[in-house]
Amino acid sequence: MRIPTMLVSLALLLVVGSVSAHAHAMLDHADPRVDSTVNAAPHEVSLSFTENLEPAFSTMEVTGPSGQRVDEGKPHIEGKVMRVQLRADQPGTYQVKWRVLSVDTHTTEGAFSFKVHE
Amino acid sequence: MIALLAAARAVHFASTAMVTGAALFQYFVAEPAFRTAAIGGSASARAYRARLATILWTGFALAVLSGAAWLLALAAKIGGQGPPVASSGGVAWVLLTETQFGHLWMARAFLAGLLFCTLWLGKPSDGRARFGHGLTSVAAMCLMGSLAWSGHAAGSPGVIGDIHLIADVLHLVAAGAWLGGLLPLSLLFVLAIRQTDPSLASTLQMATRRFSTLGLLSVGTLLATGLVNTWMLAGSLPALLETDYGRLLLAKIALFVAMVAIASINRLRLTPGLPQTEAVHRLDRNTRIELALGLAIIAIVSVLGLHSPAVHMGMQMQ
Repeated sequence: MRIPTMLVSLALLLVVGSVSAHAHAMLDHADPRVDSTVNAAPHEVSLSFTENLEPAFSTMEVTGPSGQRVDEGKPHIEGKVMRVQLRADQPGTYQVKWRVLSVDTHTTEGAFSFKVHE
Repeated sequence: MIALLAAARAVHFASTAMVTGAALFQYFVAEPAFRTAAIGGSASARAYRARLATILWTGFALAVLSGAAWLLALAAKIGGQGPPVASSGGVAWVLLTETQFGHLWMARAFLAGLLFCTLWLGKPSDGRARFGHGLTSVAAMCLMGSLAWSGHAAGSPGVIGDIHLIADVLHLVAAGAWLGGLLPLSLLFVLAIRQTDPSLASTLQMATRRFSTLGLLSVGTLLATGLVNTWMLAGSLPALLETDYGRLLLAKIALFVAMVAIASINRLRLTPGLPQTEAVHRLDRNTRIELALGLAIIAIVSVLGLHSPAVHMGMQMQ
């Protein structure tokens, strides 16, 4: 194979080969589900991410319909899952804000809400 | 803070590659070439080893300093945007003692200690210390390869994550062997140009051939690890053109292909012309160009690792 042909093949191979996933921790699914409506106020919010989390630098805040914090503070983190206990009984819209550090040291954050049926 | 972190990463990649490449160059390229030409004890060989020792010690010192700077810059970045949880104990301390990155950094500090011992006892300036040079190479490769655990692959769980990790380790060591070997190679050319010692010129052809074999092995490894990524992760090609991450990656690939092109010219066209002065001059110039391209690749890599992917926002709302 001539050098130019070889180099073009090399470039193509690398372009295809370099389309790799980025290991930032994204929210994979939540319980209660994102933007869902549930019948009764949940006892906990559980978030599953696409990567393992660093407990020392990962947090979650849940606020209730009147804007007050309803989570019990420090979330429990195991692998890719972060959960926090709630003291909530009111109907209305709840906001969940999270900020996590994945084990490869990337910070990601996000927010969503869910509703408790009146 | 991002700029500081990117700078610390760039210096750390470059200096670790510098040590790895220089150690491997001495063990696999320079000393065998000196031995074959039977000039191991000559003034030229001694002068060369003294410079190689300077490269190794400078690279080592820069690697240690930039490694510490990386930790501090990362702590400042996390502390600046993160929760107040860690502020009581000092973000850097919590980062060091409670996270995977911190544990990795402690392990790498231990590896750096081993590398210091091998450099100290192995004496790069002594041509007879082959065993010591070998140990230095192994310690340097460990320090380079262990960087894989700080990257994207560290976050992927399971078998896929393990394969990704092994691919990254090989990728780093191969890149270090090639990029880091360019400076010692260039020094060999410079010394041959300046000195009138004909025996040194006679080692050039062998050294260049051996280095280009090392380079071929590196390119092969870099390609294989790229293929492993393709097999594991079917991404989208449009993302390459539409995101900053993708465009940086394309720039990196273009630079890499340019390096391979120059390396091919060196091996196929210029090396047979050694030890003629013109060939030496052109090889020296090409090696410097390769080195500049390699440094540009390192600069891109140090920024790439910090970039958020374009799919970021879309994936959060599933």
